[in-house]
Amino acid sequence: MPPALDDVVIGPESDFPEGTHRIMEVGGRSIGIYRSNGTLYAVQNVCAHALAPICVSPLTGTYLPSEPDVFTYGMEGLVLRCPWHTWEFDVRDGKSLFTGDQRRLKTFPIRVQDGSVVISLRVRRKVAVQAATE
Amino acid sequence: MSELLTTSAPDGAPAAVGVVDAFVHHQWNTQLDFYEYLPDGWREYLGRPGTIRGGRGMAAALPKPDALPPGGMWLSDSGAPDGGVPGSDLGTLREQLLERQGISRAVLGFDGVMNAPTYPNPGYAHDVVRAANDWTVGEWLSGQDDRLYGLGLVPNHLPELAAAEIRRIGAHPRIVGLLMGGNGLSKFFGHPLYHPIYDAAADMDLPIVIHVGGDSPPNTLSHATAGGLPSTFAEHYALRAQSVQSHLLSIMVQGVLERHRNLRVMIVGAGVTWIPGLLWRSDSDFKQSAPREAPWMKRSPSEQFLEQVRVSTYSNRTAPAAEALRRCLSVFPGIENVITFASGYPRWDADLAEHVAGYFPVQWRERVMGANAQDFYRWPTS
Repeated sequence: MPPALDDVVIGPESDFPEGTHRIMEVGGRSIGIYRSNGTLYAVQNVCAHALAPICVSPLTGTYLPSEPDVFTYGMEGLVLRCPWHTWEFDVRDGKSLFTGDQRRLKTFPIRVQDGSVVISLRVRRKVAVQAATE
Repeated sequence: MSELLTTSAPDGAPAAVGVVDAFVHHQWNTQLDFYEYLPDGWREYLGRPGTIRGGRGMAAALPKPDALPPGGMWLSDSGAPDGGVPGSDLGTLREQLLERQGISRAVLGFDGVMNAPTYPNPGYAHDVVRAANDWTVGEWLSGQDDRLYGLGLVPNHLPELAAAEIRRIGAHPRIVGLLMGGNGLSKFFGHPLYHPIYDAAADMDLPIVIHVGGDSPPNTLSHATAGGLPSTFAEHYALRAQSVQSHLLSIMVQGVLERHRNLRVMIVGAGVTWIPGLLWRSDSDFKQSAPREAPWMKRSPSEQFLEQVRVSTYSNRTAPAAEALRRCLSVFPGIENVITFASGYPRWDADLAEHVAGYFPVQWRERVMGANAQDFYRWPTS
């Protein structure tokens, strides 16, 4: 059994309006919080390629896999593109958009509960206490 | 020679495939030899020697050769007995290559003729290429020796007409592949302009061969080397893998091999040591930018390469010692299915089959010396 996750309240829902993103320290981790197309996403602020702070980037779309010579834009608001080397990931599950590459971003369950935004993650205890007293 | 192959069979049984030479440079002794295959108009255009005083009166049919090695272009003892140029005499080729080296099948791929597509007049270039193809079939592949097969030269100046020529000459059973020689349009060979060529090749199940030097003739706007033109042949020779790497990467990234999963491509003339560097680098860069720039790339460059690309050993003289070469190439599992023996005979840097075989592990030799070429070309079924 994997260890149980902790629920951490990161603020009222109104702090995360549509089309915005923020980087927050949560449970001892730097996490990017995105709201896109009505859905919240939480991503660890570390690129799986070269450890860049990937969450400084907004969500975008990209060109979808296609036949040769065809460019089809899609996944609007679902693609996290690293500012360092432009690797692209699906914000929904953190998977790389490059065929065959197994590296992926760390994502966390995030929800709205009683008007507050809650992230489920394994808190790094020592730091979590600091975060809780801030 | 057979020992080279039988030792590689896992159970000691004789190998099914003999030594296959994937690329031989054949050529005419004098351009008069192919005149009968040229349209009348171009024959008159070029003229005949002796029609003006001093024996002059004939213009050269082909672009001038690129940088020349100091000792000459061909093996010094490969000339025909009557003084003809190397690669022009069937008897000499048969004795020096097929018999002496135990070659069971050899693929004729042209010498300087391969640069005909770079001639500035595209109609002329097309007609010379077509005549050269007919000359190969008529003078070499019409019962002269059952071990000989040939490549159809592609007049890539005009891709639509080139496709028609591929379908015409490719119908001959002894044409087993196609040669993208001189770079007539001075564009990388993966450019979408060339789609008609690859469509026709795939339809005919004819693989594409790309030979170094196609970017060297004076009438190409492309260069064989990046950054400028070398001052010496030594530089030219050391850098010759540059342009074929450009063409190959272009073919992979522009989706040619995705459009045609049955299309096979072979690089000839640059040896094999450039492979790891190109694949490592391009696999990495593919992850960075391909989703935006080439979203049709469903496989990494190295995956495409291992499945659909072959590389000739010629010229193997650039290889390090055998063990270093094996370690260099083995970083890509399955590379023994890529490396394909070609002698390059009778060029000055041609390799003996026996010498090449000794460079590769015993377990690889059947693939390298015969089976890979056997699987690559479109051999006649009967």
